[in-house]
Amino acid sequence: MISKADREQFAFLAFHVFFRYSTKPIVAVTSALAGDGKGYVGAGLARALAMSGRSTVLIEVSGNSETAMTTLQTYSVNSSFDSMRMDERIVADARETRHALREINARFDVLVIVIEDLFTTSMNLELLSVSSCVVISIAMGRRADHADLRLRDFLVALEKPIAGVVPTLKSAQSVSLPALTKTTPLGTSRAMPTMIAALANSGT
Amino acid sequence: MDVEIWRRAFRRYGWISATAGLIGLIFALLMSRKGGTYFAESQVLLVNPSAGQFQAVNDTAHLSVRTEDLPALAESTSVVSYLAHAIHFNGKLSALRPRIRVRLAEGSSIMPITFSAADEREAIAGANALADALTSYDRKVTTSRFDRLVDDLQSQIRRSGRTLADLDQRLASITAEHPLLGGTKDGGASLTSRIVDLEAKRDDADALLQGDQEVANGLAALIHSTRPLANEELSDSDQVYSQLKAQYAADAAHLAFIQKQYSGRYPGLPELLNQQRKEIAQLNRRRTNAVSRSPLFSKTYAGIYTQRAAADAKVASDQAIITAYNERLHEQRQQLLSSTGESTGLAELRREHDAEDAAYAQLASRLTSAIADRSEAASLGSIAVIDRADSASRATWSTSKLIGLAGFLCALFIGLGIGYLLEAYRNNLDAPEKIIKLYGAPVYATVGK
Repeated sequence: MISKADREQFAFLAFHVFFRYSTKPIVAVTSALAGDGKGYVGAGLARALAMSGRSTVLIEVSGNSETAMTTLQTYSVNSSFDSMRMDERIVADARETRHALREINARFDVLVIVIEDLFTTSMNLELLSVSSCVVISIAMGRRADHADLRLRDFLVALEKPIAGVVPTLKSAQSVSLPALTKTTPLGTSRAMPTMIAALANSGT
Repeated sequence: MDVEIWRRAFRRYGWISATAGLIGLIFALLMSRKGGTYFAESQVLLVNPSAGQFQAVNDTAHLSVRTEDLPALAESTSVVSYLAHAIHFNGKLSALRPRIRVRLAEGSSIMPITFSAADEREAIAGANALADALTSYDRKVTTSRFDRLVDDLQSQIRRSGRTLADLDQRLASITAEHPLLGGTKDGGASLTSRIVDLEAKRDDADALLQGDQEVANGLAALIHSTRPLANEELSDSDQVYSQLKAQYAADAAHLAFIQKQYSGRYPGLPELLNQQRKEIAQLNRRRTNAVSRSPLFSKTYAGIYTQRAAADAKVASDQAIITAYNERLHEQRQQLLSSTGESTGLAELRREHDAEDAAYAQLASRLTSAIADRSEAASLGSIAVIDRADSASRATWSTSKLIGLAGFLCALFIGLGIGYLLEAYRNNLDAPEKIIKLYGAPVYATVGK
């Protein structure tokens, strides 16, 4: 599924990220619109960073605006870089999420946080604020949206550097794989485990 | 212009250019099927008819049509209809107009006329027909103003002639009914002329009367002044008076002598004076008796009296003559008044006839002049054909093909232009440059296929 070119692309991206933010960076991966491939980018970036010798954890953040609870699903890349496994699922309220992230960051060299629906919950914004830099994924070929401008202006206002923008093509936006995900009682999104499994299955 | 945009535009919207090019190509093919066109040219000369010499085009004082109107005239309905008839064209006249071209050059008297057609013979016939049409139209315009004048004058003359005929008929009927009014065949004077004659005679008689009246008045005055003389003659004709007068004269002389001789001391003087007084009284008495007789006993007076009587008789005679004339005039006038309507109407009719006759003569003169002017104008024209078309040239590459090629190229460029505009204003993020421009951040990787 992931071509050699994509792996090289992610390695190139990881090099630049780590070159500029080398001290335990927390890289937030987000996008202006849904379906722009931020999960794919997050997974690929995490794998590339892990291959560079850094202990890397990928965190998928899902916020529930009704309950104000945040689910942090953490994934780690195995030593052969052929798969990712979910290590922990942390459900925390807004107050504890930051604390949880600090603890995770203490254990790992690099945190890659994939944030969905950035402006829906304040926790997402909070996570963004603790990030060192932001990587934005964007579906190649779609029309520029006011959400893009809003995201850009927001990041400028937060003074959050954009490490890079990753245009994603069709195959990165939707992945058709055998169902490898695990359902959880909390209804964690299925996309991330599927992509991670696809990354693992693609091999080096 | 960004080459990259052109490249993307061609890649994305090349179908628009291809479609436009295809439409242009179809148009070009349709135009090319029109075939070649023949052009034939004839030339006309603008002439100044009054000067009889060639006139420059820009000096239009004597032309019947303004030079700036000639191109429009060449495309007018009348000229194009003539052309259509000449070349046996049955379509719409508007289809012929684009094939006509008239050129005017400054300072030139020659005006070329070009006609195009698909057939060579038709082009030649059309060019010649246009030249002929312009020439005949010019003549028509030139003579048209005279035609209207001639028609108008002819209608007026016809009306005048009918009026004259009517007047003649009425005059003839009146004179036939009243010969005296109109004159007879035996040469007798008309009533009116008779009245005039009588009036003239009456005037002569009146003048004569006045003269005789003056003579009579003079004689009457003379008689009055002659009375003392007549009295003297009457007195002198009385013998007793004469003797008394002689006696008195002698006694008066004697008395005068005595008075002178004796200056009043003569003793018989009172008696003489008394005697003289008695003689004077007797003389006066006798004189009174003498002059109491009719003065006609005086020869002088009788003579003058006789003259005066003759003068009075003359006057009376003149008056009688005048009275006779007046009576005769009255009689004639009464006779004239008895036919008043006819005589007055006759005079009016005659006057009307004379006036109408004069008007008829004037109209005839004007008509003659108008006909002469029209003939002169028709013989001289402002536009003359000097060069008739006898061959037609063909364009090396017909206009229709050129139009077709131009249409194809225009369509192609329009298609490319539309594609460029669509691409230039397309805000899809389909290039890393656009993404970099949007976010202001570098693009290190592009993933997915």
